[in-house]
Amino acid sequence: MGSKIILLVEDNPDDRILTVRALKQHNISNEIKEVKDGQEVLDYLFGEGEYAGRDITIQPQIILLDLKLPRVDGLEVLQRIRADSRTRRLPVVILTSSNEQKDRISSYDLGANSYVRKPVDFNEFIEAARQLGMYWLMLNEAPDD
Amino acid sequence: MNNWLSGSFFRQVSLLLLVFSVVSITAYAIHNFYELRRQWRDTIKSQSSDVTSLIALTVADDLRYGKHFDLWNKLKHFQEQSEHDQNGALYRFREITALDNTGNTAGSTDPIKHPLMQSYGAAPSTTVLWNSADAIRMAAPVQFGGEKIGSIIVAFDITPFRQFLWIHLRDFAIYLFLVTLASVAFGLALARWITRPLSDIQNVLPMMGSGNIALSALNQRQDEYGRLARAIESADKHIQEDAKQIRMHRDTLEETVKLRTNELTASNKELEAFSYSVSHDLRAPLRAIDGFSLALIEDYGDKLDETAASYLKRVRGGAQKMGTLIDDLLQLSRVTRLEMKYVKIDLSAMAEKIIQGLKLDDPKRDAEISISPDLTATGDTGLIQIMLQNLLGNAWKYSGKKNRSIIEFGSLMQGDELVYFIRDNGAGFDMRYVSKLFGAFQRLHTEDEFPGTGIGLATVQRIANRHGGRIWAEGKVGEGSCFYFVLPHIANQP
Repeated sequence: MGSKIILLVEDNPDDRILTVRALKQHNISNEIKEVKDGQEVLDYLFGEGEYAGRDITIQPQIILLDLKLPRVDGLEVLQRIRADSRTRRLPVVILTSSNEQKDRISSYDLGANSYVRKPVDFNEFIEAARQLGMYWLMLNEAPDD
Repeated sequence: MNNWLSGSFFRQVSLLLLVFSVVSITAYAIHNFYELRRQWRDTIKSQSSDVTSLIALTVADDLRYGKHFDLWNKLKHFQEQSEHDQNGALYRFREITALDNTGNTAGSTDPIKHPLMQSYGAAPSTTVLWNSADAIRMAAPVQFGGEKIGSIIVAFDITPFRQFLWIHLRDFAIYLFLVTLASVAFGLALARWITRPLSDIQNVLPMMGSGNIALSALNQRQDEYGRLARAIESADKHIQEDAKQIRMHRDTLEETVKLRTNELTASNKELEAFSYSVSHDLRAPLRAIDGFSLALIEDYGDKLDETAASYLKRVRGGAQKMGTLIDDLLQLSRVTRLEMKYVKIDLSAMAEKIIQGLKLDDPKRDAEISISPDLTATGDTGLIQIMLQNLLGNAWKYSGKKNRSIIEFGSLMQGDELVYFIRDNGAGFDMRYVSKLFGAFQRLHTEDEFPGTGIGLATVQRIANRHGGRIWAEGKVGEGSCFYFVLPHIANQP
């Protein structure tokens, strides 16, 4: 079972704060791990770089992944997660402001579980986050391995 | 036969010449024959008349004095002479008879047929009698001392004349045959001579434009063929020159198109990157403005007075408006950029879905919607969706202030063109400003009346244009508007 960590990958501090607030406000009490770029999330997941020595048997319950990230971009992160047997089954929700069709198509192609556009209307955003919380933290059990 | 003739100019000319020569030669021969016969007849007539008169003169004395023997002798002598004198004679005496005043025979070279002193029968006058096929009879009066004492009747045998005529006729037939042969040969040669250059010219024409045409057999001639040959050679050179120019222009054009395409691709890529970053980067601060304003209202609402709360609401409104603007602008640019995939689209079903969405957002609206069944078009599904979304959304929006919204989506035939239309009974517009309707950021209503960015119809027009179609509108203030559009059926689009 482990702790139900939500891994939030977002480079924009405003969006990070607002996302965390939205999750908290809707009674999602899980630990939220915030990372700021694509390299950092890979290091975190695979216990490398600054996360060297991290117990990587403890993996997040869900990854909220922004697409436009410094250093390694979101699509590549997704690709690397899906390519590695240790992280292949992690639920990944793409969380981005991009409305580009091709982003959506390529993230599904690369194995994203869901795609949520960060809406400017905060109510919509909260609704999206709430649905995510419902889906991935309350209803969905992560596959046992 | 007809094909045989119409298939060849040579045959036509040959046949024409043949017919012409046969007809003209035959006509000449016939005319000649009759003319000859007439002349000979005249000659025989006058000669026989003279001879008869001469005989009459010679025997006048004998007849007067009844010297029958002398008379007979003389007549006999004449006849014998004519029998001896065969060479070239046209006639012979068959019989010569002298009659006295009473019409009785006074002497005849044929005494058995005409015995002496017997009536000759109806004595002819001087008239020529062509009463037999091979003889004529000629009569002349015998005069003595100024008075008529009898007459001479000569029967001429004109067999030689007839033979002569037949020989002429035979000669003419041979002549006619030979001349016809000659003229056919000549005609064929002439026709060949006329048409030969034509087939020479025909043979080189497929090479037109190669610059290699040389009609050396013809181009030195001064006649029509010479001029034609020189004109063809010069046209050949010109066409070759033009073709070269055209090829050159085409190559340049291809080069230019390639260059422009590359430029366009580059600028499209740039635009795409720009749109992408607009989509991400412009939106992030807006999200922050809107999100933190809401956080303030929600978390610190009790510490704000009414004015502060309304200001924050306005901040949020502005941020949201700008979000819509960004969305619309992105859509407008995407509509121009995106690659199109042509498929058959069920417009009726698509419109039905859009209307359902609109009703969901505004469930209290009293609306009468009629969508013609079976409206289909060939186009890009994504783009047509955006187009109908905009047009039906507008109809919905602008008819919102009526007690009852009436929206109709249908089609009609204009000439042989299928025109779709979306009509509403909404606010309409002044036809004076119809030209501004499809411009980006052009609005005919204030934000307070009907909110909007002014980008929707510009997007719709771009979609129609990208499909090779058209869109236009009619409206009346307060009564509604109607948008017409045409999407040409493009069968062989990739």
